[in-house]
Amino acid sequence: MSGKRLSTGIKGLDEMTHGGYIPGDAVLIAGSPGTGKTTTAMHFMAAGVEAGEHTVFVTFEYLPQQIYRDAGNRGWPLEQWEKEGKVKVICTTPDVLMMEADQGQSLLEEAIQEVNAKRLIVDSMTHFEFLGSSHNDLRQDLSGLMNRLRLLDVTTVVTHEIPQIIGPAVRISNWGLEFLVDAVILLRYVELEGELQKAINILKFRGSDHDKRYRRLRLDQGGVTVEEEFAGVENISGGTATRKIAARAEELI
Amino acid sequence: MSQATLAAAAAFSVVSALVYFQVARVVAMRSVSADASLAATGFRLWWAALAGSTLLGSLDELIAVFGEPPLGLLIAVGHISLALTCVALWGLLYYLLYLFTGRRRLWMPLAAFYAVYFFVLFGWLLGADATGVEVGRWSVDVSYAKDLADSVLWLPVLAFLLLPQILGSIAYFTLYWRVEERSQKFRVAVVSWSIIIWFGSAGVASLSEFGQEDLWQVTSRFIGLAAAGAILAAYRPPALLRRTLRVEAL
Repeated sequence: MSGKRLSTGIKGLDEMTHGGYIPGDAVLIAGSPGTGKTTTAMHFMAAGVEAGEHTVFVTFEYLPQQIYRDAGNRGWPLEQWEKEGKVKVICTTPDVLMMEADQGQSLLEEAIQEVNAKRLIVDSMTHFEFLGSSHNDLRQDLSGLMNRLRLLDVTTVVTHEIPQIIGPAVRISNWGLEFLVDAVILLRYVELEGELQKAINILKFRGSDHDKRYRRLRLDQGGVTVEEEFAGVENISGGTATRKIAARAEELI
Repeated sequence: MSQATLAAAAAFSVVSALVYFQVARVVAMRSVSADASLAATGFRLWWAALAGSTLLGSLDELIAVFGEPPLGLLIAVGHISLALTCVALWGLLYYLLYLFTGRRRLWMPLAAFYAVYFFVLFGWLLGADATGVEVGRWSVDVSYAKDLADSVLWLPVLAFLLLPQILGSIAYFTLYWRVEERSQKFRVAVVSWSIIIWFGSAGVASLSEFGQEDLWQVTSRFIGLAAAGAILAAYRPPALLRRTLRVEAL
């Protein structure tokens, strides 16, 4: 494997992943509602445009106008990029996507070929759970899809919603999506000092070392920023973080 | 003779109270984050309320130098002192609990506990039926129709009055190995051991006959004053200590 990495489009996340995503990998960005999953994925798309790599953006949740508006608010002229052939936006449903995949050359593969995409974003995988398939069938179908994408040498970023807002236990998916991908990035809320803050953590990054610490995540008009680690804080994974005793003692003694 | 000893007791109490007030003032100067602010307030309250309670005790002793204090005044002072003690204990325990757990919300159940504790004690003292004033050589006490030491509440009351400080100080001392700065290690060691010796010796004396001896009365007051002075020195070490131990003032 070459040492080449693809920038995530977010400086702090590039640092956490030691350079960015590995080309051809499937990356899962999982998180609670409003934590910035779609925006994080969009950063990858924007980085691709900058690097001359084209993206297919598949959404099951939004209409094209909403996507163009949200991207435009962050400073990404998505509609313009689409006209220039740098990005292809597909608004569809999971059953259409899977049905067409069964029939040979699918809508997805056509779109990838159309814009010569090297990047794919699927927002969000949660909708596959409503197909009614058994977990085994779903897992098998998506495993096949992921493998086809790997053969096409497409780096895939998928998002998935975790319904739990805060708390100790986090279940990524009910059907093992986290085992089908090469990397899992977790975005979550954590209560700290009376505020609901956002945290980012890399749970898995196959084939490479990565930063294992929780870092602060900021989501604003400019997009996603990955900031410094939660220093002197513990129990972030429990949802209600507290500063470490040494940090408290430092302040109070 | 008792006038001289009572005057000495009052003087010890006033000086000790002034030292506690100074400690409260010194720790109040430290700026802390919003998350730690209530714990810092709790610690300040511990010292300020201790000072207030000690000062009130000196009032009884001072009045007694010139004559027997009125029972009503003694009872009122006792109740106020009891309330201040409960506030002080809440402050100290919340500070320690926050230090160890980081849970700010513990102030509520702790406040509820000490509110109940106060009312239980208040009711207990009311029910004990105060009958008069006992002016001793070193202190002034209310005498009760019922012997408080015979009550089933006696040991739990004593335990909750003394054990939090002692156990809390032992726990506080374990922070010696958790903090890195030399000055903080110094403060932890001095503050925790001062309180352990101070309240520990008082606890032992209160359970024995020795507690009434003149020698112990003098000794205990010196211990209390020395502990207070040591704690103040932990936060504001004199120049010699700063040079020798390479510690800094808060």
